[in-house]
Amino acid sequence: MMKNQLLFSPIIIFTILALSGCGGSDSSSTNNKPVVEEDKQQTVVLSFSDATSTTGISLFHANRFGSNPTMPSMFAAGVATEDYDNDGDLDFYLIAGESGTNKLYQNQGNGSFIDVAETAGVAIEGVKGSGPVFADFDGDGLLDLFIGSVDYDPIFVFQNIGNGQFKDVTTETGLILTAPNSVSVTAGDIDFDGDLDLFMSHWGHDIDDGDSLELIWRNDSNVGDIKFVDISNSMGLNDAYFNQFDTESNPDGEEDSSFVPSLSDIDNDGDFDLLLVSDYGLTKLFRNDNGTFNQIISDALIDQFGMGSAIADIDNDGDMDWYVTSIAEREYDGEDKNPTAGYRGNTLYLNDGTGNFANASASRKVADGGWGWGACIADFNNDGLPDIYHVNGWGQNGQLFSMFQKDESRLFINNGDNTFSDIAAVSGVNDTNQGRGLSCNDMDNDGDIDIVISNNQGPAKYYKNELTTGHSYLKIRLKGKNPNTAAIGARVQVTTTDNLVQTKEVRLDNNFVSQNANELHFGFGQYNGQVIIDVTWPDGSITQQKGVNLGQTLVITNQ
Amino acid sequence: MKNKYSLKLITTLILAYVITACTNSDDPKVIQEVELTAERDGHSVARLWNEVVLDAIRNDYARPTVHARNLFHISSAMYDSWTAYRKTETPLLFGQSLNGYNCNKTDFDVPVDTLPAQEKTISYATFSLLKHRFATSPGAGFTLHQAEELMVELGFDSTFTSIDYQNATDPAAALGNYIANCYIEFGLTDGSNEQNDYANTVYKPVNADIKLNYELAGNPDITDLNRWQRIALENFIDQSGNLVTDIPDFLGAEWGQVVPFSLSENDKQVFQRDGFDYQVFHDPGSPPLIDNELSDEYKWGFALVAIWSGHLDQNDDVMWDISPRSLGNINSFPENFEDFDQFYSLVDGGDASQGYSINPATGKEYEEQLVPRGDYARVLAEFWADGPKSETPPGHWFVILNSVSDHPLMEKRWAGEGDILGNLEWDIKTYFAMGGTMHDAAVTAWGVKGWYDYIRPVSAIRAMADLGQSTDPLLPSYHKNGLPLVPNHIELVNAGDPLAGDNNEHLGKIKLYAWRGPAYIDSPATDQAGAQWILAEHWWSYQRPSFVTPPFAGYVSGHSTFSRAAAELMTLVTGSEYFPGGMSEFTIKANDFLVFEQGPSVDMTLQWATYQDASDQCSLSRIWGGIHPPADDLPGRRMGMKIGPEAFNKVQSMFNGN
Repeated sequence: MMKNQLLFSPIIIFTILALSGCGGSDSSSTNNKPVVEEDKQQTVVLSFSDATSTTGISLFHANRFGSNPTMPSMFAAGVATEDYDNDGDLDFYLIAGESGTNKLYQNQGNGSFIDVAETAGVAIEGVKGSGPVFADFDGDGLLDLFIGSVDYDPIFVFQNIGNGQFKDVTTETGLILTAPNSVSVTAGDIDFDGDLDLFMSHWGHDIDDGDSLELIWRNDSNVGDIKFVDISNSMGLNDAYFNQFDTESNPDGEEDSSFVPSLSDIDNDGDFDLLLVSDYGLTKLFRNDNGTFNQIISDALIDQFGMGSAIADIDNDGDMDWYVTSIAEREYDGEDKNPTAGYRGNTLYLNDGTGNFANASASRKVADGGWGWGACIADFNNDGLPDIYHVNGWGQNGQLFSMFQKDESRLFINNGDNTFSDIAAVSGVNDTNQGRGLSCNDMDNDGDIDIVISNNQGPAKYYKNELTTGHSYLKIRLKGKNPNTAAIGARVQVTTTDNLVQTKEVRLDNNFVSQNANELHFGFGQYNGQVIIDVTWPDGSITQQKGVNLGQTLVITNQ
Repeated sequence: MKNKYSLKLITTLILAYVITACTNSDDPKVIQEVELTAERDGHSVARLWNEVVLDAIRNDYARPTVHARNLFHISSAMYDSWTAYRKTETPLLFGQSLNGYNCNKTDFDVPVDTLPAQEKTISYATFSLLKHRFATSPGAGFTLHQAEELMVELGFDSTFTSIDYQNATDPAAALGNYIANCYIEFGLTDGSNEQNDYANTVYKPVNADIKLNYELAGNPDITDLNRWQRIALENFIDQSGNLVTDIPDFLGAEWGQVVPFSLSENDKQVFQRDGFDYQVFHDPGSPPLIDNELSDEYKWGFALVAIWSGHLDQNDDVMWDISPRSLGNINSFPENFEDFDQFYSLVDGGDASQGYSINPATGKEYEEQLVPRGDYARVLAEFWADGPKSETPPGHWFVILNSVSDHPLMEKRWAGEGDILGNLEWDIKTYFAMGGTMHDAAVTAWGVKGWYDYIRPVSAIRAMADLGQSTDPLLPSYHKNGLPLVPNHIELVNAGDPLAGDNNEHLGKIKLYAWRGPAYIDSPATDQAGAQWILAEHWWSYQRPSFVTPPFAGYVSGHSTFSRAAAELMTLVTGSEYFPGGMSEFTIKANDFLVFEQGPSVDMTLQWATYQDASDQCSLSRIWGGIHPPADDLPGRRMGMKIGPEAFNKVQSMFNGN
């Protein structure tokens, strides 16, 4: 393969505009000014290498399309990344699908991975799995593993019992589903009791009046005893998808079309709001008002086929923005009408600081990502400006949408001038498989963000970031108080002496069927001074670290 | 995939001396040491490749004909690769002529240490042929990945494509590629129409489609109740929210013309329709037709399917012993359709099983296993449908063969006699025999299917329901071609019946006590349709609602033909009608097996004493599954009884060099 390199302009200018008038509450108090960094005669090279086979990874996802092809079997897949064995490096769990056995790739700390699924007790075989996540459900400091599924295949809850071992506790958890698909899950504490409640999307769930969406599951666990109770109806969600899916071909189709639930504090009031990316233009937003969800009816929610979801402060103004992948119009060589006519593609919802969103995907040039699925926002070139990567693809030979079959994944690099440029091809991450899930994390602990991709009906891919720049970085992991041992819900701000303020939430991210590890990664470009770290913990308490040096991984514990 | 490959080749000095030919007895004997490679630990390369082939099938479309042929050709290519280094056995294609196709052979040097060369030739032959046959499969990427992974595990270069086994740097690899190429070329001449994705060239269904969804009733557009019709799911959203639009055509209507393995021209008849020669081996004659002298047998058979679907309820308090103590050991079955009611129990279900008093391997009695009939029947319908992992029936019998070969009590003596064979020789020979048998079963059964073009139960039962009842001219809704009335099972909807409807619009229609169908299953994980009185015009087969019935004619049952032929072959190849240890088992967990709906309610173990018992059970499963009447079944079994031994005799003869 040709070595792809990206040569940035030698002059690198960071322009951080303080949008103090837009309600970014934290940044408004700082005295921002444009920062210009002089070129240090350094060429920034962002490239990725396909390190799949050289690092020991070999998995080809396959569901049996021949005998029972269903839409869910074509969109399911997944990867979850975390340090499940608490040895300081990131491991990942991959869905193999109906034809294979899932793998748990344990990071050997030397740049290679070994599948330990069998010995760990999580070698699920022959299941159309979807959306795995690691989370400490019982608050014992060990990451448990949830694995969803499609087409009524079984779901799994594995309790981490230490020493790298998991125990299947599914039947004891109270998670009894009537929904056909559990596509993506996330978790966060929404009832302020400290433990992680579970949120599950069930695209294709046929619902009757009064049926539960089986979307919100209250955590009633004790250490060693994982338990969930369905509280979707009492949370006011039972009619969220009612009377919204009637089509000509299916006039009484009452269906949940949710793909990705996300929990983020979009209105900066200290609690998790629910962002529910949904197919067929049914994406929904619920504001958390003292522990109940109130749907925000807004004309601003305009995505047509919400599929993937990524949340981050993409413009460094102190609030959480939201990127939703969808389908973009594509040339069509059939004789009938182009079935994608009018498809607008991805949506980038910019937050005004109060939870009001406005789409900026066209002007930012991040709308056309083909048939988009999982997305993540991360600073791939460590320049302090969050970038977007998303996977994509759909259709098979002879099918209506086969023109999306070989979609190339997109790497939208933030130019710092309110535009982005897709450099996936030149940087070697234009994966043409049917991408569904992905994790964006520093897998090899060299300070830059690598990418693990879970393809449907295709090979898993590990793209190693070969960034050659001297751009600085800082990684932060939080340790919270039991039972929320990962401090899900905390907010971290890192401020440089020249007042670049970067804000991140600690979330159990879900990009679509996939999870990023909770290792907050910050890039700083040429800046190499010290930073201040402000942490707002889930309980509202605030701690501050001053004089922190870059180029390291910090673990901050809530005492 | 589990790491199951043991790649260690044990190199041993087994046979140390080869005496060079020497006519002059005065010359000193030249003694040369030769290292011979012993068999590898664990599975043979043939088995490793067979697993890849089975996985390829599981990820392809469920096409029994195509996969019977793939299994046959790939097993034959392995056999030819193995025999290429041997003197006695006759290959099928390498150096032979078949149906006018010549696969030429040039002499080459056979190494003294043949095993590594055989393994390599087998691997390249399988790898190349597999790649070709599954290139357009929906699982092509997966299959190629699996195959390449095995090549790497075996230490072979998957990019080596030369077929010049005389001059190539790696003659054994090139020979494998050459043999694969012969099968590829032969496959384009064997009548399967592989080059056009196995499409029919002439066949067209005579009936308009039957349109199905949860609301549509009856079969209003059918014109010929003896002939097949396509199934059109109208405006149908499946349980996963997918709009189903596909209307499958008849798969393999002209498959009777595919070049068989051991079938004899003497057993072939040719029938003409629409200018096409339908070739039928072992012609079983016409099935019962609605309007001929077997009209009663026609109606009885489809009524039986409807009644048996009423067994698919775990709560009806009917318990059966499903152990070999009560099931199996069927020694004969009726020849004539008129006598089928002596074999199948119309109302209670099941066949003329006698069971066994003693397990001959242990000398002990088989243990009774009581389970609800409603669980057993549903488990059978799903277990045998396409095999546990959708390998289709021919693939399923390879899975059974592999499990028998793996059994610790299995002694790998060909036909139960002579020396114990090594794993490779055993696998090569049994795969070749099983492949030929399955292919012949497909050619035979589909030859019959294409020519007789017989109707399926969902078409027949709904069509007869539309006509009325055929039992009593004095009762309402009499029609000579209607459903027969069977008290408590098939009755008229009379006044006051809850099924009569708000405005008595269903009065006088026919009702069935039957499985209620997929409309009553919102969630297959938690719901069961159960059995109840339903209008006969709404009858569904016990299958996925998006599938309903396999897309080809019913007569004769492919499952019955494949399974009986395979059972006969297993008996001959192992020298015993019994599974090793006198029983084979498959464990089913409660509420963790069925996928059409929730169930079964209890743990159970499917058990078979003999290969034929497994085959007989497979046949019955298709009746409970609602896709074959008895008329499709027994003629298929009878054909299988001929095909298995014929294929066995042919391989025997080839192994002996004929």
